[in-house]
Amino acid sequence: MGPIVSAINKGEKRRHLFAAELWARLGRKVIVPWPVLVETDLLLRSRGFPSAAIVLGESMSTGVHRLESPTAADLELALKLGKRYSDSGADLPDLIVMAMAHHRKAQILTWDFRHFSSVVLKRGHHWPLLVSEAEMPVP
Amino acid sequence: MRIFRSRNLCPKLSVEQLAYSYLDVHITRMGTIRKTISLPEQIAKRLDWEAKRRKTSVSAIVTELVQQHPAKLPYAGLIDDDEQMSQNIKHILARVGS
Repeated sequence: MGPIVSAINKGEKRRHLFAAELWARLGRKVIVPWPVLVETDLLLRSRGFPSAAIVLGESMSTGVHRLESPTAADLELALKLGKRYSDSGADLPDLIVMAMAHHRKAQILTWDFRHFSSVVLKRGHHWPLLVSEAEMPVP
Repeated sequence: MRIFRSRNLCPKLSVEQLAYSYLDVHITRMGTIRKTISLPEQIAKRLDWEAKRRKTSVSAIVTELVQQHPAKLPYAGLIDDDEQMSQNIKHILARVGS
C-alpha cells in the first residue's frame, strides 16, 4: 500500500516521483489486491481527500492496473500466516498480499519491509520484493 | 447479432468475405476494441512491412508501440500531504474512528 500512497502524494517528493514512474511503467503488469484498494481509500478519506479516493477507484475500474480479488485459497493462507505470526503486527491486507503473491508467483511492491521480513512461509524463505529497502528513495 | 429473416435482406457476400468474417470473429480477443485509424501512406506501408517482417499483426505492433510510452497515472500527485505518509499508514489508520 505504501508505494501507491507515495504515487498519489506529491508531498513525498523524490519518493513520489520514483513511485509514480514505477506504477506508470508497470501499468497492467501490476496486480492490486482488493484489500489494498479499500485500505488506500480509507486512508485518503481519513486525510480529507475523498476526490482522490474516487480517482484512484476509477483508475482501477478502467484497468490502469489489474484489480484482483483474493481467492478462498489466498484467504486461507493469509489466515494461516496471521495465526503463526500473530505478534508480527502484519494485518490482513499485508497477509493477503503475501498469499496472492505466493499463489501467483509474483514479486511484491511494498515499503513495509519490516512486516514482509518478519512473516515468512518457512525457515529461510523471503518474499521476492520488487524494490529493496536500500532502493527506496527518501523524500 | 443480426438475424436476417428474409432472403432479400441477407447481404450478398463472397465466399472469401464470409470466411474472413468468420475468422475475424474468432481471432478477436476478449477485452479488445476495434479502432479505425488513418495514417500517412508511407507510415502505413512501414507498419505493414514491419508486421510482415515480425510475422505478427499490425494491431500487435501498434499495441507494443503504445505500451512503450507509459500513460500518465490518473491518480499521480493528486494530493500534497505529509512526506512520511506512506511510512505512517498503520498509525494513520489506527486513528480512524478513534
